[in-house]
Amino acid sequence: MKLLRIRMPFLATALLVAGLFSIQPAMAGGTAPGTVISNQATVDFTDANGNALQVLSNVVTTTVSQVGGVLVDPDNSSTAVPGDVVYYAHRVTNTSNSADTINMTAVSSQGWALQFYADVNGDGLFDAGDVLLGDSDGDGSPDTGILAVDAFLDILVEVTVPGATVDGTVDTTTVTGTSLFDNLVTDSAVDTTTIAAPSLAVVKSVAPAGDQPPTTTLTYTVLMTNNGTGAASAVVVNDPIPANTTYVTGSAAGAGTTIEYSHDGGITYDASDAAPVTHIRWTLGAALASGGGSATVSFQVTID
Amino acid sequence: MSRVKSRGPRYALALVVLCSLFGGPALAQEASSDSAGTMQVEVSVLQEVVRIDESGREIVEHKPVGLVTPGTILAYTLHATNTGDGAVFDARIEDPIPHGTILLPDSVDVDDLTITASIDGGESWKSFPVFVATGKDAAGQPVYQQAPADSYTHLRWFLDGPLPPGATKEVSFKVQVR
Repeated sequence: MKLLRIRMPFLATALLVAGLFSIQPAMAGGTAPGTVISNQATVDFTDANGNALQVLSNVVTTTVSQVGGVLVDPDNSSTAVPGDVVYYAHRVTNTSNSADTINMTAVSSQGWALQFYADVNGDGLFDAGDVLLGDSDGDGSPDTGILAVDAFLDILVEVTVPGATVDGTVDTTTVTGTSLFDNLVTDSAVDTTTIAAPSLAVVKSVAPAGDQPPTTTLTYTVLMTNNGTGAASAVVVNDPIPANTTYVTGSAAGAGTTIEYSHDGGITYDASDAAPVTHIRWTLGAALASGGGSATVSFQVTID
Repeated sequence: MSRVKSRGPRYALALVVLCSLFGGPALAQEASSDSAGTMQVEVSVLQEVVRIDESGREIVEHKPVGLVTPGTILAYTLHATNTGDGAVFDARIEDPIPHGTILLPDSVDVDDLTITASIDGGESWKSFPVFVATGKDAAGQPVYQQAPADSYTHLRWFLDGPLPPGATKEVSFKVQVR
């Protein structure tokens, strides 16, 4: 106690410093199974006759067992458009105290198709050299193969977004690694995919409106607006010339579009607008931006 | 005997304390110090298990050692007993931190005993908890930090004063399996 009292001011300062730098023992990997943890104490003392003596305690031994340990990191998220194939990178680490194989499973909340690849060069991207994750133990589930203590495998999860997926759809794919040694030991990461799809509204109007006598010229206007969260590219508008009307040569318009005409009921198209014209096709040169990007095309006919 | 006599005043004070701890016979034993004291030390171990109770609280329990894996916390208790007929003096318990484990420094009760520790395999000993200089601050004064938990290799407990026959001292510490 005397010793402690003398050092009190020093300890107080030092404890403050230590608080900022407290060190947590790391437990990754860990002591190998079968290791015997042994403890034996000694007591030194002096008896009443002044003899310095020493006695040993009993020996307490404890044997370390094998344990499973799996780490799957990190969680990922991205946006995608319908039809995309998205790759999410994960690192699967054996945090147990002995070599183990980690089985991989993945479940898409939207039921989308999933595949595991080994990210051979570890760059987090799907490259030519990346191969489908194998099933080294033949249990029907792809796995990492045998990983040594603290060893890891970089993998990719391939998520295929169906072409018709609705704008705003959110998929959470849960990627789980399970210790082969102890299938109660698992770790999961979640990949969230948000669909940013275009959503086109098409409004067609005619002027003048209402009942009109023959020989009247009608102007049709088609307004396309992309109200979705993804850009709409390669937009094509196809409009047949209404029955009982005749296309007004040279009237088709559409800024930034390529205009083509069909003379055979929509089977073939060419650049000539010579009569008869049965259909008009506009191919937009630029994508319609998300959140309200729009384009307008128009043409005229006369009532027969 | 000369050694005992020279320490007389200190023992007198210690005996007052010991009498209150162990009762009157201690004084009688000290008086007939012709018979020699001897000691026995016993180590026991329990495993710390954290259980979640019905209301979601963490309950820490100590149970017989079961499945020991990396991260398991082992609680060692050492009982040092004077099993002889006379008092013993300057008793010191020493225990190495078992290989494959890391001392949990907060588990060492420093309240009523002088404790020293080694962080170099028993070569040198410092007051527990051990502080090591890790550099100097802007004013050139050394900066001390508590030694990393995994650097401790040994602990020593000093049982100041005579231990009368039959008296037991209990010390304990916890380790975590690496």
